[in-house]
Amino acid sequence: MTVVTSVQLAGLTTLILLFIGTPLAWWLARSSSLLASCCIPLIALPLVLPPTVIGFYLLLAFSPEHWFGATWLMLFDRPLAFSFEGLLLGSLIYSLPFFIQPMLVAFRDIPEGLLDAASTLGANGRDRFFNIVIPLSRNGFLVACTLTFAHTLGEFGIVLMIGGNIPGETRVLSIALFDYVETLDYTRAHRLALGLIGFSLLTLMVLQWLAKPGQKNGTQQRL
Amino acid sequence: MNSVEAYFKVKRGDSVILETPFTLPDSGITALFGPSGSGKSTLLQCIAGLVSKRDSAGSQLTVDGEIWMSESDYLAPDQRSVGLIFQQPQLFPHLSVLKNLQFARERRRKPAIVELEDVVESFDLSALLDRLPPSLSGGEAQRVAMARTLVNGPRLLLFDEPLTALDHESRSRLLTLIHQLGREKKIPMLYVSHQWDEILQIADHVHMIAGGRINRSGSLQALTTDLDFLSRHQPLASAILITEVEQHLQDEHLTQVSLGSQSLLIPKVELNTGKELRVLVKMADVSLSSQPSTHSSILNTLVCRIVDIAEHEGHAIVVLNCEGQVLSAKITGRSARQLGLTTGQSIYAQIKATTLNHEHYRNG
Repeated sequence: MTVVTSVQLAGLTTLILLFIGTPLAWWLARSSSLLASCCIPLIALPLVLPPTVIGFYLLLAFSPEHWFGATWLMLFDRPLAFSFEGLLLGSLIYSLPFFIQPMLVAFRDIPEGLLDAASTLGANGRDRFFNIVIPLSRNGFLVACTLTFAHTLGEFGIVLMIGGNIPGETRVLSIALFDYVETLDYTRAHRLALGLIGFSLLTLMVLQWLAKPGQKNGTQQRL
Repeated sequence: MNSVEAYFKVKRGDSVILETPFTLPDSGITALFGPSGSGKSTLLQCIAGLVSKRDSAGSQLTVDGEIWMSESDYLAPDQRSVGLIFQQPQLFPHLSVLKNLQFARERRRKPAIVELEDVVESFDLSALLDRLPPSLSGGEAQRVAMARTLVNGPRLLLFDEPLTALDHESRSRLLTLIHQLGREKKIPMLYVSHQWDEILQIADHVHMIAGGRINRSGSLQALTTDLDFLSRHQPLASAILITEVEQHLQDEHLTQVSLGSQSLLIPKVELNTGKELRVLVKMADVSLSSQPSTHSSILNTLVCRIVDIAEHEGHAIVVLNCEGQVLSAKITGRSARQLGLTTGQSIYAQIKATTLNHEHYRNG
């Protein structure tokens, strides 16, 4: 159950960020506006803040006394705090920089001249994005998705603050491990911890293997 | 007739970096020549639509009567059908050579100047089709880039110093290809360079640009024989003689080319008899004599008529007419007085055969 919840959370977070984060990163990489330059540090904030700080404010926002939590409750007839949806929303926010940063690097790496060449050959913005930018950012996408997935899987502080520990709903692997240790169930704790290490190693190895062919085109990226 | 009529004004920050009227004839190769930073590339980018609407505010551009830029209009680069060949080939690194060409073919709005199959043939690309661009040499990549542009069916062809990054042999080969294109295809071509020898080899018309403004335009021949130009741009002063290959002297490794009823010997070129050959003659490599010289190591003597003489800082620049073509000689003022040169006089021009530039025809 815990594994399913964890994988569901990490998978959905990655998928949603793929659709929201990609255009956002493209805009941030290309725009020189004041708004864009303010957005970049704001998005990076979860990288440096203690997760509990974000968790604390999210918890406040999710409560039915707050307009955000109240609106949610009115629309969906269930509270956001201590729910899977709340956890997902929180994950999207704290995993955003782990998606955006590698994508920014990948997008900024694309030579302006290639896009100019594509323009003069008759490719419009959409055409250029799908046929030049996305294929050339392949490794960036791999890194971004893996980091997002792995980081969501491993996050503890925020989950504890806003998710609680409801089996089948908000109980994820990192919390379960904490529980086992608390209750001195070291056998299960070992099994879970070793499982997570194995999974993380496997992910990184697969990533390295997948990213290799891209090195030929000079847009490679390393973790 | 001009197919492009324009007035460009481009700002970078607060300073105006280009402000000039501009025209492009409807066929042949027009060269845009000027030092680095004179606005050459910016002008090309204006035509291609790569300068933002804001930076190019106040510019006007009409191509074949169609408005591309004006007070109210700004056509996006992907709507313009301009073929731009960059300094770097700018091939898409994730697509094979063939797919790069297909990318261009799929997006063309005008009939191609050359079909894909033909361009593969004439640019000698058949062995490269499956390769990825990062594995190509500089010359190969630039050939693919040119082919890709042609397959796209451009209305104008713009070259932005395409040979800068290439070695000598690739430069020669590409210059020949560009020269042939200029001859065969009836589309306006603009060639930007700060290398005068490239321009001498391919251009029909020349715009000289400096400080963001075109200050002189004309046919290449008119420019290379203009006394004022010659004295002000002495390092550029080479005449072009358009000759025809007459015969090859295999034993002596020489080729005889004809210039009207006279002929010149030059180091052997691989070109069939009857073909046109541009021979470059540097002003400083021409000496004058009042008598035909037979006792000299100099192989070539042309009978010429003096058209004009100008004294310039102790030197005399003498403009000569030979069989209807013009070349010039730079001699000391003292020699000029000793020879008693006057306009209209017949004179023997001696040209060192080894100094004649034909390099780029070797691979042609």
